[in-house]
Amino acid sequence: MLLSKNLLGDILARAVSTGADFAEVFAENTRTNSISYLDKKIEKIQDNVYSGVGIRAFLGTRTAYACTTDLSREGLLRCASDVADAIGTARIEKTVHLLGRILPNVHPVLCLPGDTQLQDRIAILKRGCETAYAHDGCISQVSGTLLSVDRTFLVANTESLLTQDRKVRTRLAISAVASLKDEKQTGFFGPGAGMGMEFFDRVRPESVGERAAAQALTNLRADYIKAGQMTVAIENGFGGVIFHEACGHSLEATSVGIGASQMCGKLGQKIANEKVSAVDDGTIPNAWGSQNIDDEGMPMTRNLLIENGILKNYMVDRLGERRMHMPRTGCGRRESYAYEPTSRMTNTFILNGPDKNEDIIKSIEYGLYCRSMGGGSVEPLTGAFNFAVAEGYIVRNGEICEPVRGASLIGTGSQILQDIDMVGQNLERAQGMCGSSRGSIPTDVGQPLIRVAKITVGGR
Amino acid sequence: MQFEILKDALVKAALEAGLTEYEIYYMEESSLSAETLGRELHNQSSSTTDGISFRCICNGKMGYAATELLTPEEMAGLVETAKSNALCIESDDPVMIFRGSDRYAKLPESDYALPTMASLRQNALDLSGRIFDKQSGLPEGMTVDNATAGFSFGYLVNVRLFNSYGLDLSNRYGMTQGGAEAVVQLGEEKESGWKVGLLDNASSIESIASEALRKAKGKMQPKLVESGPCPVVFAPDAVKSILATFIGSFSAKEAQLGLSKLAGKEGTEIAAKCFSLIDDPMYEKNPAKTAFDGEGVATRRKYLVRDGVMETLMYDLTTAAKAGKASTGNGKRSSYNSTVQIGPYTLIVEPGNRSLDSILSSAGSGVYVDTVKGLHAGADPVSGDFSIESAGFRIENGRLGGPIHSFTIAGNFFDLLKNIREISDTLDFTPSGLSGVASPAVWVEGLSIAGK
Repeated sequence: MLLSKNLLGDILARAVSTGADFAEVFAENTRTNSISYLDKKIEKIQDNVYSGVGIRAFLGTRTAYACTTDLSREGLLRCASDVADAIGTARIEKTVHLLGRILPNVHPVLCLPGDTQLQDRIAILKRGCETAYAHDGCISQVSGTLLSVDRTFLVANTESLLTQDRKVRTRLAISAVASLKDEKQTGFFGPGAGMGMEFFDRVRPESVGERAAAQALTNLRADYIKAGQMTVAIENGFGGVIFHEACGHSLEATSVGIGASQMCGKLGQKIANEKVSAVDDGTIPNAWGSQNIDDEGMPMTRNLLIENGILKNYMVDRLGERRMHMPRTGCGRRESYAYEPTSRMTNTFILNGPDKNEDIIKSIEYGLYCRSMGGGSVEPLTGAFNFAVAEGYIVRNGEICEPVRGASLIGTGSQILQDIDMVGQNLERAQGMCGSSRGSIPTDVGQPLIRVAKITVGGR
Repeated sequence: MQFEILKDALVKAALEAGLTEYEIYYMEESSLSAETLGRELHNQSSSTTDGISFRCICNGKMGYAATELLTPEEMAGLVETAKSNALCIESDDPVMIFRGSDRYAKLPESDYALPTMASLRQNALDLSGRIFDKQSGLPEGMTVDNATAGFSFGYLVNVRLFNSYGLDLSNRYGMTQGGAEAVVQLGEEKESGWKVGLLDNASSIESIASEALRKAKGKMQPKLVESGPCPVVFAPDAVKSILATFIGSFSAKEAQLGLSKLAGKEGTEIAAKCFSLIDDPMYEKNPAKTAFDGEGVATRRKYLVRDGVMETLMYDLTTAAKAGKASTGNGKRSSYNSTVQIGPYTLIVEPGNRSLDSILSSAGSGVYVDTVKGLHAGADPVSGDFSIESAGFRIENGRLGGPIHSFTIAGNFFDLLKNIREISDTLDFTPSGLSGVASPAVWVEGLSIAGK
């Protein structure tokens, strides 16, 4: 236990001592190790320890938050007083009793980062990066990072909850640069999981390097795409960033709860083509965005967001529950103790649909096939989104033809959801870091191959 | 003082580990913030955090470790971790602990003190309140929505750098900022506008609130724009985003790795004659200044580009040693838990001679880009290619016309620099700690738009 039960009770009592109707303590100890490869050598190794406490109180929908790295009893009580002072001036004596609750661990880790030799981790990183170099003579630069994170956290609140969880995650990210004369193009692949080093029994480091190098090479040989509106097929895995940006953020209570989302008031309405069903699922064993409990202490859930085009639910955290009068969905998340939690995606993806993948490509007379997507962003209020195509090809008469580069897809969430008119059957998830309100957190995106009937493709 | 106790423990542990070259970097940060939603107070937060990093040279290689567990007992483990990390490094890059610069700029004493929570609450309430107060001046049928928000925050940072050569430097900076997101509604349509800035004078709150509302209002009932090449005038906020995305190509490290198109271009023309770019660690309008970088090297104001000619890349000690040059003082530590990374301080695009109105009148027709989005995804810092979602206004008959949205602007950063026609005369500055960009509006030819 990161803090004693008695101390936690005292902190909570102090936090509600001026009239707050709820208070919560979040204590965290996270160890990270990051190994960087660059220019054919191990370049940097860094170990960090993050250790701190965040205290939150509610009075209705008004919130106060304070965090500190000072873990002394005095430091923590001072932090609780800061929260109490921001809530009000009343003087109320309360006693908080905590009941421990530890959930069964559904994300077992076989090989903790701290239990492996640094040299073994270095060897994995090198296997991936060296493969990228060996892929083709045009690969002029390769950089890679092997990141291991071991995060233990505790949540206690004035509803007597006392619980804790440990999340281990591992990610190998490689980027390759292909050069020809004055031209340089990049490729990237960065798979990860809520696992320890056993992740590399499932994903060969070599395959990561190969994929990054192949993408750089494809882009090097590609011409710029001509801009305009067209039919677009988006491949599985990271292609799911389309749903993450175009729809996911707009379903978070963070924006829905204050009326700042295009999806407000649309529960039960048809918001997407009937072929589209989607979930936010934090229960998938050892997935990148999974935890046993969320950062507010609630077990994560599988939350059906859209079923056959009908909006079924939002992603609701504790504050959202108060604002929207809807039950929480186990999606209260934060980057660290330094951030107050809020509703955020976990593993969010479109489910398999009715269409055969080959039929999707065959159906396109002229359009764009996005084999791999880059990142993107969205404004939840209007649903206006953009994302970059990392690897794209022209489709002509139902066949995938020459590669093109420099493409980006833009549109609005409500429109594109209606325009997804074919959904394939090769669902796959991919890993990303989602940066939004309350910091950067690991999330999975995903989908099978889909077809968007019409979308604006930016290019030259 | 906490730092002195930790320093003594680290020095002792380093001695026991047989280390002679090491550096300790300590950072302490306090912050307060208040947010409103509608006209109501919505959230208040405070934070007091500190952390320490130890890096050392062992067998000619540099190892790092950092922690927030600040007890003297933890320090021996920190030293051990940094040492074992150093022993696994393979890079042959020269590494060094710095003995100190001959002189450091004397900064004006920072007397910044964190504001009280009560004053931040008032700032936040005023910021959103003023937007609601302007309701009567809005076009018929348009209302200010309750999602309109105001916020204000203050932060104070203390930095200490101490190394095995006895170099002992400290810095202190902080500032109070405010921001607002105005949300307006007309029929079914909602649009938002966002502005953040320093609260450093009596009119700051009014100008932030007005600007946020202006942006929101201006976006209402946008049209699509035709695809094709056209002249583009970038608003200061758009220039800031683009520069922040591509400034990495001015890093000597990227250049030495062959990842920057600016490699080997020092002393040559890389931009239009009207373009000059300054990197200033002591910019008068930025309350956060520093006289030394993350390696202890003295910082200085310098031109990266002057009259279109690139004067220098940004160097830290390692890249400077490889190039046979002196560090430009750009080896930054963004936090105690980050390694040394090359980066800029406040970037300043030197203003031109004519007003924005006068430039728009010369441009005649085209697109005025108010906001660009998704640069982290739609831009490739290596090739310079970008294709970014934008929103703004038409330029018609030499003036700003109606709002346009959902278009992308595609081009290449390095071509863009050469195709700058003119730069307006008024700087707009947004600080971001020791960084930030001050820029006027910039008129560029040769870009293409993808709209309808």
